[in-house]
Amino acid sequence: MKNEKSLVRKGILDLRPYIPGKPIEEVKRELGLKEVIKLASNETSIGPSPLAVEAIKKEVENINLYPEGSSRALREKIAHKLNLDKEMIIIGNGGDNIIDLIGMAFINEGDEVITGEITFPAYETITKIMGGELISVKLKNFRFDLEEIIQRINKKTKIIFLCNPNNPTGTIVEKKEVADFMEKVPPEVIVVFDEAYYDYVKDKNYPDSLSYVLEGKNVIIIRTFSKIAGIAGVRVGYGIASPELIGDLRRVVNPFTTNRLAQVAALASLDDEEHYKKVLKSNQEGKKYLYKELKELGLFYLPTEANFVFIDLKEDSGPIFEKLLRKGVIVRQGKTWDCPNFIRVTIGTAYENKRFIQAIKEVMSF
Amino acid sequence: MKIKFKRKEKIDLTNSYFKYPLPLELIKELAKELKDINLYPSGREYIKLREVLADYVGLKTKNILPANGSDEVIEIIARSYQGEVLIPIPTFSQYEISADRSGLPKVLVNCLQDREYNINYSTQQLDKASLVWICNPNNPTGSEIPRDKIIDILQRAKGMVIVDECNYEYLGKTVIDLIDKYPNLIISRSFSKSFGLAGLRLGFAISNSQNIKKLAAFGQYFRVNRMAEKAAGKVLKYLDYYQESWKKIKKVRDNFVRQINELGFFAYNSKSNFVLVEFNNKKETERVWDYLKENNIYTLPGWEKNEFSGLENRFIRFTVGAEWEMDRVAEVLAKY
Repeated sequence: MKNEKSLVRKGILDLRPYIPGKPIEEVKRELGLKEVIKLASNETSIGPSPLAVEAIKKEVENINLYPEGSSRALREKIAHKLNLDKEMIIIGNGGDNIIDLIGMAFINEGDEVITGEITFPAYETITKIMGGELISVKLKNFRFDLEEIIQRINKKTKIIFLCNPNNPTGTIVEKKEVADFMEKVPPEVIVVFDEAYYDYVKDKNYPDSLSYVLEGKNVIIIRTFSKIAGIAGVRVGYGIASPELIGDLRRVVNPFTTNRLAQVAALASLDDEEHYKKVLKSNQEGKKYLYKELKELGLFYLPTEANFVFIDLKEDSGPIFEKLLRKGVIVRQGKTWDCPNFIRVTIGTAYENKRFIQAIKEVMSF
Repeated sequence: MKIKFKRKEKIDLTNSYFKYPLPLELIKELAKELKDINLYPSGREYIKLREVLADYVGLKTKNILPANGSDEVIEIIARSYQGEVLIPIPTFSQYEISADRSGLPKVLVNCLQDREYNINYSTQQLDKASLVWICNPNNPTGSEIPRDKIIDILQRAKGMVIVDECNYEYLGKTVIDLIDKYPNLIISRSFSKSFGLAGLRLGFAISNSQNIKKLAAFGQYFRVNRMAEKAAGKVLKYLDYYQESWKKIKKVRDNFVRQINELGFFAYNSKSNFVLVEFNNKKETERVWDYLKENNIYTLPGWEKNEFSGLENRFIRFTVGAEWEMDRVAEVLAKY
């Protein structure tokens, strides 16, 4: 056999496989708990769109057939909703898949990719796999520092990933600063707005990223059905960009990447306005409740535009995470993002939020 | 269990999926698994899935990497290695397409001569290549690649040898027992062709644990959806039903090959769930293909680049469908 180093792509050798968070079943079994609530993965606590579930039930009998490769019906429906051409939409196996496609289509060895220091880790993973170099720019007041990002652009810069709202901070970059930023970004650099949490945003200063796509800029927007539609389990997300950029992404996409159930579920969820409103209402109420309780406890949190809250416990969150687990509450530890004093808590149902507050009162000394 | 077919006017023999109906109980069971669909695929279920697959093939979980269809297995492999790729044409298109997508140089080696498909990689080629593809049984010829031949390639190759066994269940022969002996061996399997889960997307890679770890850097757990995670275990409970179906498909296939040859066309002997038929030239093939279409019979011609690498225009591939479908094809062709 050849020397392994010459055979395996360099990026692969450097990577550590992702370790998923603890699933409910495992925590229950390990700790002998009857009820466990999971506020760790920013899923929709009140469940999937009922219309999506019905659509899947009907489609199950067709699973021996290959999926329609380009998810044409879904592309058409999304395009129609956004008043775009369907050639400006690509569907993938979850939003992660779109991030990977962007990396595979555009990152060459030695290219630089800029993103924030505390953000979703998938940008880093695909950059490394493709042999690119990740430039992590420190956040400023827990927000992407667009001015500093501009300073870091050079000839090697290929892509800038902006997670907006940002995971795990829940913060956004605003309309005006984005407008300035877009003026200064060289036209050949691709700006990606990862808007997985787009539907939850209430802030009026949230930028209209679609306007940049329509202006013909090198902008790609990522959205997902995993969050508000509540169908993370079937895996479906999409990208929006110019037909040229979407064409580039289609060149690297796997022929049958989006499964049949995902396609029909996503289609149905687009019609489910009732569920959409219900999720938003629940999120708003949950947010208000958590803010109030956290304030009373004197805990610092970042006001969020998403369905999770990033909370500073002012002490190592590791032991508290373990204690919460013993109370049957799973959250995400800040050490994932080198913020060891923080936890990220998904906004759950009213009951789940109460359970969380009760548990944190019990495990921390106030 | 009795195998029942819905009769439809249109006969679609294009994609080579499992054309038999899935057990009704299985469909009911799958439809029940929807209450947690708002949750991301579960790491725990993923581990269980690896256990189920390991159990099915008789290996350890550390030897198994599930993926979003075997197309993704092919892609993960092309993305994980670097260097030249050897492709034995005519064969399945994705080896070539994945090499192109990953920017890997490729060498297409013609292996079809005098209506015999024999993989004939030279020592020089095997010295140089990083990825060496073998499709067994080969798509679209349906040819079996003898075990001796695969071992010979494994011994001579300096790079990784990937045996695509996505139609394994029809051939019944595998080289997975060799993964410890040959550290350069990776096998790809699918649930689309033999188990009817093409719409759900589930495939998996088999290799020694070191190779699987490397492939896992790119093939992460959340790529396999929650339904697929659970489906494999449920499907395998109906193995008897499937085995009966495969037997039936093989019988229909062999009968179809005989019928076609009796009509004076040339059908390749197949060890898979499709049959390749060779015509005299492109013109005749086009005429036959159109004629079949006019008769509501849909097939894949040699010029279908999404499916085939290096297949000439004078071929048509027929997926093996129900007995009545194949009889109908023969009947229509008899009148050509």
